[in-house]
Amino acid sequence: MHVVRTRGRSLVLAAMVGLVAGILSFSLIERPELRRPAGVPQLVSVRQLPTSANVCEPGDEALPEQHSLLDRFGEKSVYAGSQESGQTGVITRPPTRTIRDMDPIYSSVAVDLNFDEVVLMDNNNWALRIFNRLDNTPPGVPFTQPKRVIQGPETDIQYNNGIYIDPKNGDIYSVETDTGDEVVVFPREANGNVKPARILETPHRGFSLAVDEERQELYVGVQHPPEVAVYRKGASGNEKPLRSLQGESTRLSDVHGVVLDQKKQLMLVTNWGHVSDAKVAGTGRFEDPSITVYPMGASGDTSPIRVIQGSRTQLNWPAQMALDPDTGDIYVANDIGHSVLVFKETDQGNAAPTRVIKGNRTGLLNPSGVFVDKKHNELWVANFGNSSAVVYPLDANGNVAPIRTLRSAPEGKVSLKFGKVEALAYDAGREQVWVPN
Amino acid sequence: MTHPQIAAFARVAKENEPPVRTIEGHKTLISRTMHGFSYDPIHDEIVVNSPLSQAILTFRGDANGEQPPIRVIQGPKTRILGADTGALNTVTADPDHNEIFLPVGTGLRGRGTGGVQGVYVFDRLANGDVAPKRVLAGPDTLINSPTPQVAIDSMRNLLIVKSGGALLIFNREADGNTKPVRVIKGPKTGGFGGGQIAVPAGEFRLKSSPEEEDRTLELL
Repeated sequence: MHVVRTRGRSLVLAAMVGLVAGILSFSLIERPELRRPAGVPQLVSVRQLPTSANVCEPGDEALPEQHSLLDRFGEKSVYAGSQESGQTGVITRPPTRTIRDMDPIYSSVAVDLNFDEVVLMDNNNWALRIFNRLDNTPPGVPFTQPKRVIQGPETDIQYNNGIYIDPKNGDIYSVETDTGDEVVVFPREANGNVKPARILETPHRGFSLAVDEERQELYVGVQHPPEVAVYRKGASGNEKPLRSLQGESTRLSDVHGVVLDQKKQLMLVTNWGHVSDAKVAGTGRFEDPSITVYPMGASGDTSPIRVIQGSRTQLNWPAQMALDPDTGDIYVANDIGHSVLVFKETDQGNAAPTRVIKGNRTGLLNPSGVFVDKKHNELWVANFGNSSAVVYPLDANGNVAPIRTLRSAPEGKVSLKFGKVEALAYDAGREQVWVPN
Repeated sequence: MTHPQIAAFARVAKENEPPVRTIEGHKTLISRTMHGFSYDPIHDEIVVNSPLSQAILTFRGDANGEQPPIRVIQGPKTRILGADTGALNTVTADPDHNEIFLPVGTGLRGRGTGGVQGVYVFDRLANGDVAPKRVLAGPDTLINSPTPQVAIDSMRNLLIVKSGGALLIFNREADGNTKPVRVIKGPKTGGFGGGQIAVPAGEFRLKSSPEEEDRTLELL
């Protein structure tokens, strides 16, 4: 009995000691002036997170390798500068984790029909990758090695989106969209970290290229303020455009693709529908994506002669276009639709595409570039979403498998599609990092 | 920018691990040049700029895919300019006070008309063509740079504006042609270049080490 009573007293005492210790601990958390240095990071405040029905409770699988970044920091201090001491805290340790896609992400494609080569525009690593036209990456093979790669600081390639290959001499034209604001031109056999043969300064946000070989004119589609600037094909330096199409009447908006029909002397442009007069406050509005059609010599604030726009078109962030000059078929890389839409050049209004390449067999993921190879009756598509380019017969339609796939990353790889990341936010409730492009 | 998107990654994501969700597509109304971005944990909302259409978009915190924003601030009364002409590079939410801050600069490519150089403040619930509830602007504010940035310190009731190589500290509710209460500027500061700025949540302090007991982790 005595033993039982003593054991009972011990249990009660232990419970009381635990309770007091707990209260003291919480009291110290809420009263920082009583806290003493412990040699490790300390919890200072515990507060109720806002509750929301939409916030998911993290499951066991959400638990990281370390409980917090402080664990990872170890004994290194994490303080910033102190105004009193005049010291500046400099954080030199490497990042704990890095989210980065090292694989190529292809924004555009063009084929050199004289030399049987295909050039893929790597927007992620700022490079041009040149392959044999018939290269094919079999299942199970991680990637196909390019024949040549034009890449490096000397090349001036950066955020490259629009490509053109000169059909006579194989010169490669590349438009640098964001920080570059120029067109760089390389000779066909360029390889490695080489300077361009020619550089032409262009308006900010140049995105797409087309060339009128008859008149020797270079067309540069500019995202915003929307414009199609036309230069001499051989222009360089800060040479001014011969003419420019821009203004409210043009209905250009966030331009992403330009294609020319030399037979019918037409220019077609893809627009995303982000509209505003950039110089006047409060003029912004949203419109549906569209394809606008102009005479090839259009300049100034000229209205389109036709507009393809509306829900039946399936256009959703339409990017680069290519034309079959014999049939008048317009092939559109339809980014968000994960599809290639084929319209007749004469289509107008809320027209449905005559053909749609789309589906799980196609290998399409965020297509952004297209090229029509009339010599071999093939259609090339550059996928921004999965480090690949795919090839179809020119008359492909529906959920068809490509006849060749050129991959630069393992099968099933999904590209991160990072652009110029300049901001971050953290959602503590969901334990997620927001990254806008 | 080839493909605008707002991607959400797991906190522990690394290398080329794909995002758990992305907001993208025409219906989202997002565009390129989203250089400022705010998550509002109180109301579980995302606030972001859509500079090519001179709009501020608010999404639900669980938005995914081609989901439209729940509110859009856009129109003549907003006096919002595009990114090139001085505004809408960034946008910052103040969830504690139900406000959205939009800094307006001189622009990288020419000054636009119809707007002012300073900071617009909109109500969090503003939707459509609405005027800012406050505009901090004028020569005394010292706000003078192509693309200023702002951060809110809710605990100390401060508005911090990064402009012209300086941090300008205002009362959070400063309005009109108001002088900053403090200015941090000079060669020892490093110049305050770069992009987005932030102030950590006021109630949270990370103590560093026993020797540096009174120092806190400040993110600038």
